[in-house]
Amino acid sequence: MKTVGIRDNICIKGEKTTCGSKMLEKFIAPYNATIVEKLTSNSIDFKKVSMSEFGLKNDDIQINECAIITDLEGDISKICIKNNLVGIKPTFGLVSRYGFISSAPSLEQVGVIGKTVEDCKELLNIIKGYDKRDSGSANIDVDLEKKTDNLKVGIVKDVKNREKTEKFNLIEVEISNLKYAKVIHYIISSAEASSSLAKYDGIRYGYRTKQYSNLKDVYKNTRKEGFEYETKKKMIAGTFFLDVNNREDYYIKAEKARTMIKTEMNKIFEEIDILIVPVKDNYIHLANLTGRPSLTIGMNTIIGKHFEESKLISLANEIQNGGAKNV
Amino acid sequence: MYNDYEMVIGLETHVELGTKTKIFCGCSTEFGGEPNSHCCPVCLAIPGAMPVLNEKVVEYAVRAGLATNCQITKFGWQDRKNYFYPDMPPAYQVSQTEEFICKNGYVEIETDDGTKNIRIHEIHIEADAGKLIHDNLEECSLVDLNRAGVPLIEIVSEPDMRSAKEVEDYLRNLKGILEYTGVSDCKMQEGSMRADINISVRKKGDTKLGSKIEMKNMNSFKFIIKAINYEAQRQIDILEDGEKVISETVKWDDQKQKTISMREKDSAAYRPFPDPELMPIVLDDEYVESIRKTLPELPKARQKRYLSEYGLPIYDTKFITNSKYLCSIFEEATNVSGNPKMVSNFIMSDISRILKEKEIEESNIPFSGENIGKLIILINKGTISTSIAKKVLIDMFETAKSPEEIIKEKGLVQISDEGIIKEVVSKILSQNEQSVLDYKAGKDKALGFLVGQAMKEMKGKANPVILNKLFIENLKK
Repeated sequence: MKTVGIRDNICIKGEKTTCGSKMLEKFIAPYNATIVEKLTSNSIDFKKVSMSEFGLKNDDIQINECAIITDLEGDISKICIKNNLVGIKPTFGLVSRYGFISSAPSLEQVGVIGKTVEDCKELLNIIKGYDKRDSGSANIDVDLEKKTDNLKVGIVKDVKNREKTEKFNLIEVEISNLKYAKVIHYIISSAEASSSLAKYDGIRYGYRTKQYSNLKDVYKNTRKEGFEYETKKKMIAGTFFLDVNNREDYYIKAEKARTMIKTEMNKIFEEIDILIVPVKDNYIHLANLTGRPSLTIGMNTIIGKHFEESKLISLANEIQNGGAKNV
Repeated sequence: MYNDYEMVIGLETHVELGTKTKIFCGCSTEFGGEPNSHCCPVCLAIPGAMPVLNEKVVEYAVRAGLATNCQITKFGWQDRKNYFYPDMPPAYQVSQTEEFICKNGYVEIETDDGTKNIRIHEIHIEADAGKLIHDNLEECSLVDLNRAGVPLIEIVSEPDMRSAKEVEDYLRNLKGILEYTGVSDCKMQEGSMRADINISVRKKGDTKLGSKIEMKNMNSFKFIIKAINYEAQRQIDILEDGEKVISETVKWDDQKQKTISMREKDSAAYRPFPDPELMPIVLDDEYVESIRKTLPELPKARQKRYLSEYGLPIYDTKFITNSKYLCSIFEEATNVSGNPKMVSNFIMSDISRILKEKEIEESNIPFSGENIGKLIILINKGTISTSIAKKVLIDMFETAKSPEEIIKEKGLVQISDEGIIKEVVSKILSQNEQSVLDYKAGKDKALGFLVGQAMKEMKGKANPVILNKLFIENLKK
């Protein structure tokens, strides 16, 4: 494998890990993320890929080869359709988060991007696996090579680009709670960001303001100067949603709605193995909200059941090879 | 004025668990050590490092809950309490604000009206913060994060206590129970057990709660009693003046003998929500029962055993079984001396008095039960008198020596030689003719005086029985 790009929010020991932020401009990670250790033990070279601050703005980065990219809100899907690449955002718990600096730990995942499905599979195979240093890591053996026939494939009406999937027996699916996905995602990711980004305070490491005469100043000015507008907006929104007066109406409601979506998706997936969705608002939020794996190929994304990445890979191969096999 | 009102008191007791490592990482929890030497990316909140819950912490919390009659929560989780302070690296404290690991327990105390249950609302687990040391010379604060991430349980009582005595009894009993379970060494002076006391007052008969004052981080029984009584009176005085009590946090200033208002930390709400990096704590009945089996004999059961095995009065058994350290002293001393009642008396009177005076914790008693046993044997053999024994005990508190060594070194062996004593008796009699006449005239007190003088002459070492006998014999003449 050639050199793999690694997004700059993944810790590489002895190297700057900036998350695209002034806050961590000079921060040198004192340890390796678990996935970096795995790359090293497989003799794979890597180099950092830059990003917007904590990935909170749409990244406009050029990627034209294998890369490990974190996905909060369809980041991988968007990069893939823009650069004609294939990408996989895995099931929550398949890839260790230890050493990955996340603003929203219940939503953000580490995924892979490559030129072909095979590239993605190979890279995912290396970085996946149980890690006891990550409490959410799944102690489950997942075989990416597993072949499955007779996959039941669902599709939503909003998928306009159907040419590569015409030959499959498609089941039309409707997601009645779809329209809440983006808003729920926004509330929960903002709430988590307001908490997870609070540790950047100029006290122990990272950027510290030069304008202070007391402790409050250190906090206020460091965070005022060290963060960009988008990030500040997100944290303020999150603080608002968690405030005692708003919590019930926003944060609690959002988590309840999240459960509602999970339940509905579980029901939908009783009838199908894979669901084809477009790369559009609300759809790009589904996989992260439910922890399901998703694979983006061509202009669409296919979502699967938890830990059934192998089925996504099977179908994607069919699509890539223009397979004549009826599914 | 005071009698119209009642105090209403609840406690939040923080107890450091005696696990080897911290709550979310493998760093040592050992007390002391170079500042910031027991730290790692996790407890320093270095970006990307993630917490993993220490299983022992859950086990210890369940032990504490079972020992205090709590229900154990089968599906719980941990929440983040968000606030900025340099002693809290992640800028949030991981605690539990909803599904606490233990709920609805109680601790028994003895009141004048019989046994009373002080109800426990919850026990929850949380991470401790680091320490700030304020350097007055450099005008800065030094941050030591060794303690950041040390596991705590917080035991929250209902506001069931009505006096400083009830608070003291509750806290002593709670401490005793936790020491039995082995989950903490409960050393108040070292800070492994500290109490926040919430106190308000109201007219007797009122059911509504008054504005409460919070007294934080109290770790001395002496101060707790003083502070509670001071605060209650202060609040009553305010209400009697027609004013309202303002809810605030205070601390006890022992120099000024009063409570002082503390500058509040930013008391904005903590915006708690479930920690997304941690998974739910799921426990089943099998797990809980397996822990229940490992609990040692708890105070109540031990009291029953002491009653039957040693034939001690109920008061004695309750006193001793309150602390596992007193129990081990008692049992060892009884083994050696064969006299449980004498041992018990020693523990309840002289030993306890000295512990209270010098503010020594039971876990820090510097001598063994064996040595107390030996001391009692020496009394029973007549080698020393009871009053000399009390002096030896004080020495035992201060040195690590055995009673035999102390007696030898200080020459405290009781003199029972009748010849020697007779000489002193004669001398005292000849020097105090008036007392002799008084005694013969029927004043028994005179004998006591003469005996006292002789004892003084013999530096307290005379065998009192023989001394008395010889005086009486001589006076009869």
